This record gives sequence, structure tokens and C-alpha cells, in this order.
Amino acid sequence: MPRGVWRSVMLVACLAACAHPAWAQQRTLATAGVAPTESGRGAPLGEAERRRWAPVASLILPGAGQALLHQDRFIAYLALEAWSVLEFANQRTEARRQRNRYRTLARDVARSLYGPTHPVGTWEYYENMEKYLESGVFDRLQGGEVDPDLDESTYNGLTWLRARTTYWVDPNVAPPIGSAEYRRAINFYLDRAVRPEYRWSWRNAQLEQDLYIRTIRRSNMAGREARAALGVALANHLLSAVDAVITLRVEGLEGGNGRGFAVRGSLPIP
Amino acid sequence: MRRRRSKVRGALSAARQAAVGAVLAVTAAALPLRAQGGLSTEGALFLLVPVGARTVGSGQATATAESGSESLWGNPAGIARATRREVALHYSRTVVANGTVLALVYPAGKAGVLGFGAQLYDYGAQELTDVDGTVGELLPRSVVLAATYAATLGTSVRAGVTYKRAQSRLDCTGPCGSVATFNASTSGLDAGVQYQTTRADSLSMGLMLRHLGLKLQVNDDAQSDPLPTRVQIGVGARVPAVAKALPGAELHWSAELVNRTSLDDPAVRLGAELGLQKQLYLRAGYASGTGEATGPAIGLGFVRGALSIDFARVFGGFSSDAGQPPTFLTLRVHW
Repeated sequence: MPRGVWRSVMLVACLAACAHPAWAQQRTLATAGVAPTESGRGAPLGEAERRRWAPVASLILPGAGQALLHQDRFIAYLALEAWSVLEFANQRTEARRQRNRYRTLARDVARSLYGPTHPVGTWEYYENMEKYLESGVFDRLQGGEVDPDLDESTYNGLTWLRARTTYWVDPNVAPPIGSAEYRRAINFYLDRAVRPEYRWSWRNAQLEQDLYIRTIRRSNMAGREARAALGVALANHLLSAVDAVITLRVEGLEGGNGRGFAVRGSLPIP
Repeated sequence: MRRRRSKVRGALSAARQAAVGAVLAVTAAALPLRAQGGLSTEGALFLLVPVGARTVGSGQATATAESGSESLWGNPAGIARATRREVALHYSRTVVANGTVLALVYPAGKAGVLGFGAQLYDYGAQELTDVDGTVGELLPRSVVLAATYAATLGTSVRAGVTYKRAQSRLDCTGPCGSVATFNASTSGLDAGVQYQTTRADSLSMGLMLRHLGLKLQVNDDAQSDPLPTRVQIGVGARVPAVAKALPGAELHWSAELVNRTSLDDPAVRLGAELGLQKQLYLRAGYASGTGEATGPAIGLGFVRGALSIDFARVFGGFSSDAGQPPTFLTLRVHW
């Protein structure tokens, strides 16, 4: 079992085993010195004030409101919160680890032949490395205007084909070099083609490209799991807060048969 | 055999692209676009498609509405004063999707009011074919599960919150080896408050935040799309003069501003509802924008004992341009 999962399990088990006796003891201590009020309701004024904040406390930390209301089920909320936070952290770390791994693969295998520096690209760049064996050259002939790659099996070559198809009447018949159609096609290419410092080739390294693709999949899966854990945390926060509100509405601020929970206010509307 | 497989793959690939394109077209069409036009970069745009004939007939002004189960998809505070249980079936039909929603509202006494809903958008099956004919189907769909809690806070204030789980999926039946099916889910919430004055016209105000949540990841984590979060603020009131002039009649109007959280793309919604003897309801409204279900709308409602039926039609948006105005039908039972 991965280390992160063990960490989650141990923490949840510790919380469940240790928290309950401690809180029960505190509750005993808290009620030991309580004197009945003139109304005979039995709860000190400070207790009512604490209970009023239970929904907000639960919204911030699930279970905190239930603890303020002396409900044992705070453990369940707290445990679920702990699990979801840890799971999110684990999966987010895993997503980053896999991301660094596929970037390293790209740098050390596909890009290693092209220059000493390998700047980090955008996500679209790494995505294109999944789909295309080679980026192709940016400029076939050094000097003067850019001469796009003509090899349509490469990313740059395909980009140039798209540019010509989009802006030329006949993609196989070049208009005059200074014409508007030619300039638009070149600008399209310049905006999208892979520059020399980002050039790549997986030729004779298809096994490594396959590993690269699978590493990206793992990174995506971990990202998805992290987001799912965050969704669980969101639901837990809401459920705990709603639980606290319902408790206050049913039991009142002072517990038992106390007054209900209400917000009163008015707006200066004629 | 190899040639037949490659033809099947080609047909599957083309059909998959068509289905994904249909899903994207639906989600893009559902968003109220700027007057100048433009594409949305938000995900799960089906969340913006309105639910409920009463809502649509009233111009989708939901901030102050107390529309029963329809408030689960509007301002969740709208069910806070519910005193009767409700089960409702909401059906919608547009040129790109059929929507079905089953919803339940359950008043729980002092505890408050609970609501539960399940929504399915079916974009239609796309056939997978090979040289011999149809071999399977692609099934693009969107699913939303929602749970709402609302309560009154004193006599004037109502508040509510909805947690929703939204899913966008592409399923396949038959030989689907090369079809990239997906199942993308995310979580979000709606929160709203309503304030009711004690004026003669029962002026009320509403504020809500909708579709606040986590990004929707369909494939790559880096290309996850944010949810279409919206801020909505509105007012509504009765017109007492109508009740005085026509006994048994009640006219209610509402107006609302809808905006993204960046507050740079406001849309206006206006609505009115005339009720007669609490049995017949006539509705009209207008939702600005250029997306699906925008434009003028009318609605009709009948109440007979515990049963009510509402109908609405919109005369704008993508579906109307395609000759199939969006139609909404709601069946409701109270007890």
C-alpha cells in the first residue's frame, strides 16, 4: 500500500481512538461547575454564545460545531476531513511528481539532441509531444525569411500545411512572397510552430515516448483523484455546518427546550 | 478482416468526433454570450440551462422566486418556507438535448427544508457504423445530483445552500475499442439568501451565488475548465392594485441581474406571473443574451388540488433559430 495511504489510515485511527475519551472528560469538567440560571434552564450564558458559533465553526472545520454542541459524531466529520485533506495532499504530490517525471523524460530523451538549454514549455507543448514523433525544424534554411518545415509527418510541417490550407487558394501553389495571403500563412506558422529551443524527436525512442504518454496519464489520474478528495471535503464542510444549524434550530441556543435560532434584521425600505 | 476493422475504426472515430462536437456545441450554446459574440472557456455549461417551466415562463428570474422544487436549481433559499412535500418531474426539449429532472422537497419542521434532485441531459445517441451497418451507439450525456438545505432565519430572512455533483460523460455500446469514452465529474455549490419586507407589495430581494466549485477535468489536468460561476441579484414584488381590481387575481413581477464573478458580462432577466384563483397562472418573461433559452418566453400553469402542470416556451436562442423553440413541461404533486 502506498506510504501516503498508510499515513491517512494511521491518522484517522489515532483520531478515532484518542479523541473521544478526551472530549468526554472535557464535557464532564465543563458541566461540573454549572449552576442553574434563574430561568432554570441549566446552561450558562457562555454556553449559548459558544453554541451560536457552531455552524460557522463547522464550516471552517467539520466537526468543530458538533464538538461545541457536545455531539459525539464530531469524530466522524473530523475523520473524514482528515482523510480528504491527506488524500488531496497525497494525490496532488503524486500529480506533481509524475509531471516532473514526464518533463524530465522529454528533456533527457526527446530534446537531448537539440541544444544545451531546455526551457520548460506550456502544457500544449508537452501534449503535442504525446501525439507527434518529431517537432521538425523551425526554419529549413538559415538566414532571411523563415522557411517552414515541409515534412508533413512532423508537427511543424503539419502546422505549415494548416496555414497554407487556411490562407492560400491552393495550398500547393505559393502566392507571391509579399502578398497578404503569404504573410497570413507565415504569421500563422510563426504563432504556432515549435521554435529551435523546444525541438524534439522520439525517433528510435518510441518505447520512451510510450512511457512518456503513460506518465502523463498517471499525472492526470492523480489530478482527478485530488479533485475528487477536495469534493468530498467540500461536502463534509457543508454537511457539518447544516447539521449544526439543524441542531440549533431543533434544540435551541441553550440546548434542550431553549429558544430557537434566528437572525433578525431590517432594511430601511419605505 | 483487417480492412473491415480499419473501416470500423474510421467510422468509430468519425462518429466519436461528431458526438464530442455535439456535446461541445450544446455546452457552448447554453452559455449567454456577449452581444459581440465569443467562445466560453468554462466547463459544465449544461449547469446554466434552466430547469422548470415556471422558472422559464417567468424569464428565469429566480433570485426572489419560491418555486418549489425548481428552486433547487435556482435560489436554494426559495424552498425555505415550503410547508408541503413536493415531488416534481421537469422535462425540457431543445434542438440539442432533452432534459429530465426528478426532484423532491421535504419540509422537516423546525429543522428546516430538505431538497433532493437528479438531472439527466441526453444529447441523443450517435450511431456507430461499419460497412455492414450500425454496430453500436455513442451516448453523450450530462448528469447532476443535488441536495439542498434551506431554512428561515426569523420572519424576514431565508437562506439555503445546494451541494451538487455534476458529471459529463460519453458512453459507448457495441464494439468500442478505439472510442475514447470519458466520465468527468466535479463538485459545486449554490448559496442564496432572500429578504422579505413587510410592505403591502411584499417586496423581496434575493442574492445568490451559483455553480461555485472545482474545475471539471475531462482529460488532461492542465486543461481543466472552471465551472460557470454566476452571481445573481434580484427583486420581486406583488402588484396590490391588481388584487383590488380583480378579486382572486395576483400579479407578481421580478427582475434580476446575472453576472460572472468578474462582473464584466451582465445579463438581465425580467418576469411576471398573473395568478387567477390560485388555479390558473399566466407567465411572461425575458432573458437577455444570445445563448440557448434566452429571449422572450411565455408560460402557463394549472393547479388542481395536489396536482399542478406548468408549461413554458422560449422564443429565442439556438433552438429557436433552428426551428425548434425550447419547450419546458413540469408535473408537480404536493401533499
